[in-house]
Amino acid sequence: MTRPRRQLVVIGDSETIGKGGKFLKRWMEFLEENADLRYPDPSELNIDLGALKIED
Amino acid sequence: MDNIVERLATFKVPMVRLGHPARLLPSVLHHSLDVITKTSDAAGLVRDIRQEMDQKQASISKTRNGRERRVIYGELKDLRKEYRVRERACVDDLIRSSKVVLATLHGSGGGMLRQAQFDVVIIDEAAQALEAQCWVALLAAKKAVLAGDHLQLPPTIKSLSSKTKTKKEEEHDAGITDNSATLETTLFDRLLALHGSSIKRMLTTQYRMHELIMRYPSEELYESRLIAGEHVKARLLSELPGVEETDDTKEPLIFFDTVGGDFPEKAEDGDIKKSRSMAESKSNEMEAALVVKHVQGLVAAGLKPDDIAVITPYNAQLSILSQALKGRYPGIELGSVDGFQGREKEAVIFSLVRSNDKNEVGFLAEKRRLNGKMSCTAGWTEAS
Repeated sequence: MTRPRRQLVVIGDSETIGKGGKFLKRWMEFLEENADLRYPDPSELNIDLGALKIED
Repeated sequence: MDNIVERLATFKVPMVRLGHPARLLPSVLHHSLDVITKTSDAAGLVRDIRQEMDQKQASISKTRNGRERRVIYGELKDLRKEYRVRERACVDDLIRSSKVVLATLHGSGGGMLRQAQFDVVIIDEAAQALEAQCWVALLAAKKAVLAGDHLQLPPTIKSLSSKTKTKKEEEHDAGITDNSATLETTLFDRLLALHGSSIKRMLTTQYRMHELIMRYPSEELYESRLIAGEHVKARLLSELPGVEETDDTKEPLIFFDTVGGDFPEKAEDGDIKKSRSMAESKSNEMEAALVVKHVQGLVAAGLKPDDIAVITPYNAQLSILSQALKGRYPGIELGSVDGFQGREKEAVIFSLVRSNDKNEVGFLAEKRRLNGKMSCTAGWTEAS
């Protein structure tokens, strides 16, 4: 959390993570308010990670 | 350590750095005690004796006469004695004439510093050191300054038996300290518990993070007291040389919220061949795909893979990410939260993995884990 200089990208499920205690709940709330919030579309992702490895 | 030597060097402070020259950065070699004792004027005499010894040694092999040999052996013995005395004097001289001696905690216990006394001993990263290690250095101190961050992870203790203790020990400790007298309790913790926060000075300006990255850890962990240094508080990836401004590079803080169940976690099946920690581990392929996509975006915009770290708390996720990224971007750093390499990076991507309808979060819940390594801001503990 404190290692990045210019960019921190958090990828996570705000609902599940938010249930992990006050610290995580407030973190999720903070991110929703302050971060550039993005809702990724699963259909746009290449989930074949094995293929990603070879293709270039 | 070498960083400190480099910075001190600009002030022209006489100093020596202990430690084997092979492990030092080239830029600090000329401050190495080993190197100076071999090259300085004072070392000339020592060198002369060494040469004489070598010559004698060589002459032995040419002599067949037993009596002559015994004479030479006798001389060699004297020379060796003198050599040790002079070398010792040379090292003592160098240490006495230095204003600053730099060493690791272990190195400070070496013979070279035997009998040395210091006005001040400063221990850096003290929150990461075992208390016993600290005492190696502190025995030579009139005054001690510990620098470090008590919110960092404590030193890694692998042996479980050091964490659990017998009933008797617990009873014994109960009167004096709290019951956390394990190896994980650092001198830092103990001094704060003993003397309270009046011995502590907090350094509030950090010179690493963009203001927005800093804000949450500051609020939660440092009573909102952190201040971002002027040069760092608004720095963006897009301002790095060779990096274009894109949607991905102009944001300091991005949150991909995978809420909704389309990015489910997966438990590793209990394969016997896998280690136990792997068997209990979790992964999330959709999150991994998202990480890969973001990395691709950053690299396409011109960011060097060396400037990116991907962090995840689960080994199973780490192994998926590693398969997907290592081949193509060898320079990228992949790590678990507890990894040793806590160095700063221009961009850090954090895959949290957990996503389930039972709302189980597991060991992510520990604050210090997420705070990770942090050496840019630090509390100071001082004791005379």
